[in-house]
Amino acid sequence: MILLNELPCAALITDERGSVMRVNDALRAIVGGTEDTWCNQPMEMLFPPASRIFLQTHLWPLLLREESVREAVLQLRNLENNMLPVLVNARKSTYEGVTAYYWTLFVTQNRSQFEAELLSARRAAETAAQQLAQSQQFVRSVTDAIPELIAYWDKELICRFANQAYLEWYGKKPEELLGSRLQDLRGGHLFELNQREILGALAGEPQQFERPIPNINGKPGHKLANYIPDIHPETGEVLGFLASIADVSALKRAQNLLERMGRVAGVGGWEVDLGTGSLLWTDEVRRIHGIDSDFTPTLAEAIAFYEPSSVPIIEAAVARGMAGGPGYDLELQIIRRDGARRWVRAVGSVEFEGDKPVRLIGAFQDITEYRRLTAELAEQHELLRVTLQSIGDAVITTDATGHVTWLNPVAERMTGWQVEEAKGQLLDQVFQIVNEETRQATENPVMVALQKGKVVGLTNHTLLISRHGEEFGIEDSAAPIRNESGEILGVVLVFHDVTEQRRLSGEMSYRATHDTLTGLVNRAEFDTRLRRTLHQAHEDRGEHTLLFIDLDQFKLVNDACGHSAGDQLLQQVAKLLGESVRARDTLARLGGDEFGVLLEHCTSEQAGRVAEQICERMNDYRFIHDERRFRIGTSIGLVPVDSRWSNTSAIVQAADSSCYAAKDAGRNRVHVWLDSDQAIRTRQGEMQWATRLEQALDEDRFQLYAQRIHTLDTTAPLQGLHAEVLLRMVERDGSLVAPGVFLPAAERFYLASRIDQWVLRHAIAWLSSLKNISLVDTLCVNVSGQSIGDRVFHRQAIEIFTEAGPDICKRLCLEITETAAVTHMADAALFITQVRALKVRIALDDFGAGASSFGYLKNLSVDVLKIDGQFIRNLTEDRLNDATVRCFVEVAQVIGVKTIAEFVDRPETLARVREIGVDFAQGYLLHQPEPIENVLTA
Amino acid sequence: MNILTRNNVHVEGANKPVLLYAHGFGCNQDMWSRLTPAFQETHQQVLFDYVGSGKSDASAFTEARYSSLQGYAQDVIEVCEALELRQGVTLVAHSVSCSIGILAAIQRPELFERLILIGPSPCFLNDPPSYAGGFEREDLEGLLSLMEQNYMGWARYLAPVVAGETGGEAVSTELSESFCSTDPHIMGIFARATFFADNRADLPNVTCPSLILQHQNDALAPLSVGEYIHAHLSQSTLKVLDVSGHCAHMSNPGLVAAALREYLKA
Repeated sequence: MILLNELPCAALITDERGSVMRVNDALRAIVGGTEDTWCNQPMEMLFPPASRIFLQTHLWPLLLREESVREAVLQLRNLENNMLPVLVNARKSTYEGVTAYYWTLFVTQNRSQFEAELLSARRAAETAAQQLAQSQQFVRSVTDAIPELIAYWDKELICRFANQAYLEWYGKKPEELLGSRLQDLRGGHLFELNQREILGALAGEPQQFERPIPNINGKPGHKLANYIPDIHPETGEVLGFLASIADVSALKRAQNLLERMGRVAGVGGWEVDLGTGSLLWTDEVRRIHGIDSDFTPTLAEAIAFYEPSSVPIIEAAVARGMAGGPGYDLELQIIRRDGARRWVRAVGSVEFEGDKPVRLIGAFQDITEYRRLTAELAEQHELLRVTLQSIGDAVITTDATGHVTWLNPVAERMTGWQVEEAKGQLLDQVFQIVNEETRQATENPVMVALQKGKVVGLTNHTLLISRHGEEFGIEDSAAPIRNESGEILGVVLVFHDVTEQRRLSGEMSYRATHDTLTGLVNRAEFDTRLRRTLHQAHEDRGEHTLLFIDLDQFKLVNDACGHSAGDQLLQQVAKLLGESVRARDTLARLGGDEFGVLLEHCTSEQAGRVAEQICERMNDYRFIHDERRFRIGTSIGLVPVDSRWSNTSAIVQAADSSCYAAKDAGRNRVHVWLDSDQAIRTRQGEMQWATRLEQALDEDRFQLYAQRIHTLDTTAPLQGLHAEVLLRMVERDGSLVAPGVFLPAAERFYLASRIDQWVLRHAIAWLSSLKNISLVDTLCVNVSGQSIGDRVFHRQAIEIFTEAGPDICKRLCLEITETAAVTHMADAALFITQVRALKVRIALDDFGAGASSFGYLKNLSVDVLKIDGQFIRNLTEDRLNDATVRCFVEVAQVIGVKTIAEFVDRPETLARVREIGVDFAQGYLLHQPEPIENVLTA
Repeated sequence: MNILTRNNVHVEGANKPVLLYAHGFGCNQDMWSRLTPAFQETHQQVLFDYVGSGKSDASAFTEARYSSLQGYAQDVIEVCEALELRQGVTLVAHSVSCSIGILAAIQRPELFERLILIGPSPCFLNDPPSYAGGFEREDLEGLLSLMEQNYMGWARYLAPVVAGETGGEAVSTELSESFCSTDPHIMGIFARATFFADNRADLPNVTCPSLILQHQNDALAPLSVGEYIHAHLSQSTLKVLDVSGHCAHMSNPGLVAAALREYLKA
């Protein structure tokens, strides 16, 4: 622990789970508390949430995988609840014998300070190097006088003198060098290297050159050499030369650095010695001119690079400079050797020694790209300006203090301020906004944008009042304008006129809450009102009621007469319903043929009377289309809306179920939702049905019954058995359940198709089991509407038939109800075509039940019409029924199909149907259904 | 594009039930290395990196796709498709991958047999009064800025300057490389997708059974979040591991392997 405290930074030790074991003094100085405060706490406690996430998503995985973490940035929460950036290092180790993690937290402010010092030291060094470079000229001029390496070689090239530095450089003792020949120094290599200059010096010409010359240890050194000839003052004879050689390695490095910096910045340097007229270029200047690095131009050659019209300008500038005039800073074009034109910035100034101008020095920079960008920016700016002038939105810009700097024409029109007048005004002056409803001044979005530095989004209900008092409904937004470093320069405010839009939005909200077809409230709005009513019921314990109304025959009308007739029907029903409820009640179309009525402050009894009245009116109502009349029944579910309900979806569900119950009970009636206990029981009952059916299917607890069908054509030859397959469910106790009891539940729970399949398989199995199958002529099997609409069932049925083979298929006849066929016309037509191709026949069951038209028969190829029992039951008493049946028989003859009369339960009925010409009959009179096994034997 | 390369997919074993491992935000498939040996004998194990993480092909990253978790769910599904897995996959997901896995399982229910959710959170943000995800929006903004600092790093900017012209490079790349992604932009998008996601409404739509492995002390996904998921995910089993932190499969792989094996057996 003492060790931990000796660390100069915050530190802690945690166990493998991240629980703190130790914290040191330095850490506690930041986060406060004692050792006990933190021990056994999760280490996250030390950090704010963001750092906790980073710790868990990044650092722990890393630490667990690699056992150490280096230099991650986190934030520590200090005593004043401020965030303190820390650099985190962690490493796995042990503490008191257990695995532990050691964490050090380096407050980055300290670190930055340290780094800043390093940086400034480095900068100082760089500055020094620059200064060195600047003094290059000076250094060069004094090397003559204060040489580092000095030697004297006579005309025979024998060394007569060498100073200490010279000797050391070449690693010679004085006695070795003095008297030796230059040609022998470095094995003649040096002589070879410098021969030209040596001979030049011996010819009496002073020499100055720079050359890298390695020292005795092979370390390269950059040398500036001056060979000064020793000329006899009287004879003019060259006696030898003084070699003064300066080590300019450091200087050269500085110069190199300058050159490199110049290259990075694209800046070159040049210098004209006014004494000699010689010109010096840096490599960068050469690069800008596009020429080789060994090319050294004369001043005239350099000027010739300028584009012709620029030549006089630069010449004049240089001449002025040479004459001691001021410097220059010009942007001109040059033509490079490869013909490319470049823009350059040429800067020159004169250096004096005393009063005398000695040098013209300057910088040279390729600014082509910069000029291109500038031009592009100007172009963009122009484009932007034109855009802002022409867009439909109003735009105002302000500076960082909220004073207007500019507005576009739309903004001018809407505010009534011209740009010249508005400029410099506080925005509030120019842009006066109030809340549409309260007329109170609204918070200025520009000020908010300036304060928060964020985009301020659209605000609703804002009204702009122009200078002339005109009012505009507007939507506005303001965004800060920032420079590259993120400082806010001002704000741009964009707004547009939504006056017209707001007027329309009233209409829009009507549309959003109403059904376009009927003009009634729509489902969404109905749900909202229901929610509101339920809320109120919870508040005041009031009683309200909900009715769910479903039309019984809507589909039939829609399918038989088309959608526009369906629409007309819905409109008429909506009107009729509207007449049945109070004006303050909510009447809504909930979708399709479903309507809802919300009766506020209305007991179930009162509502029940309203519902009954609706039923009666609907019962009397006929929808007439093309001289055809349709009776449209309604099934109504009634649910009290009171505090017993916790949410509206339960109410809607209850209403839906009640509506179904009304349908199940025989349509055109009201079903009142039972009190909740009973309701639950009922629902449980239904649920039980689902389970019971599933179990019965799983355990094969169904039994096939059959009822014989008799031919009425006495002249026909004797045929085999003709029967309809019926179904019974066998309870576990052996009792039988009639299909009327379980089929509605089967449809509700989508089990009808499974039951149909079961029946098909077992009927076919029975047929296959017969020793002599020719004893059976026709076996009719019912298929539910659900199966007709279910393509999966289609596929399965076809598989079953294909497997059964043609000998069985030709004995099968599927009974499909007329309603199912009409409701699923497309699916039914497809299914019928497919199964008939396999020789399976089709009977239309309950024919005439929803009869309105026979037109659809053209689309469906059927083999038998099975006349609905309601026409047969009292055939002999009801002349209309008699006429109807005659009509059906005629239709059947026209399209060439057979007819069956069901529910034949009296001898006189049998006689009449035979008389009318019906082909077959079935009913209790002829045969009581019995287990299928028995129908052949009986 | 080859999905197996794009997502750096690795498959170990064959002809055995499939475990598909999906790593969390800020990590890559290496994080599973302590868990996978436990199932070497019994399972075919599939490992991958999300596009943008680990050694995936970052050039396949598009902001449009990966700025919501649905895009990552697509990665999971595409990896399965590329391996021609059609059913029976057990997805082992960590942290944000749990939400990603849930989206994938809703989209392709036939594909996944079970979900193993390690430290899941359907929503990291608080939604008072009913839901405490543990964080506020500004906390997550703070995270983004921390990530920026750590990825871009003081080291990257300052080290070369301090160390002179050379020698800084090696130091500067080390930290961000160990964070499993070299691109702060991509991680920023992943972070937003992760921490601003709210997948609570998706929970009831999952049809396959799931095992929720919750950490006893987890700053990112508190116990209440685990209970929330358990309550809204049908057929889910909740098991709280006596583990602190957010990465039980790394810190206590034995515990996780045991819980997994027990669940897979049942």
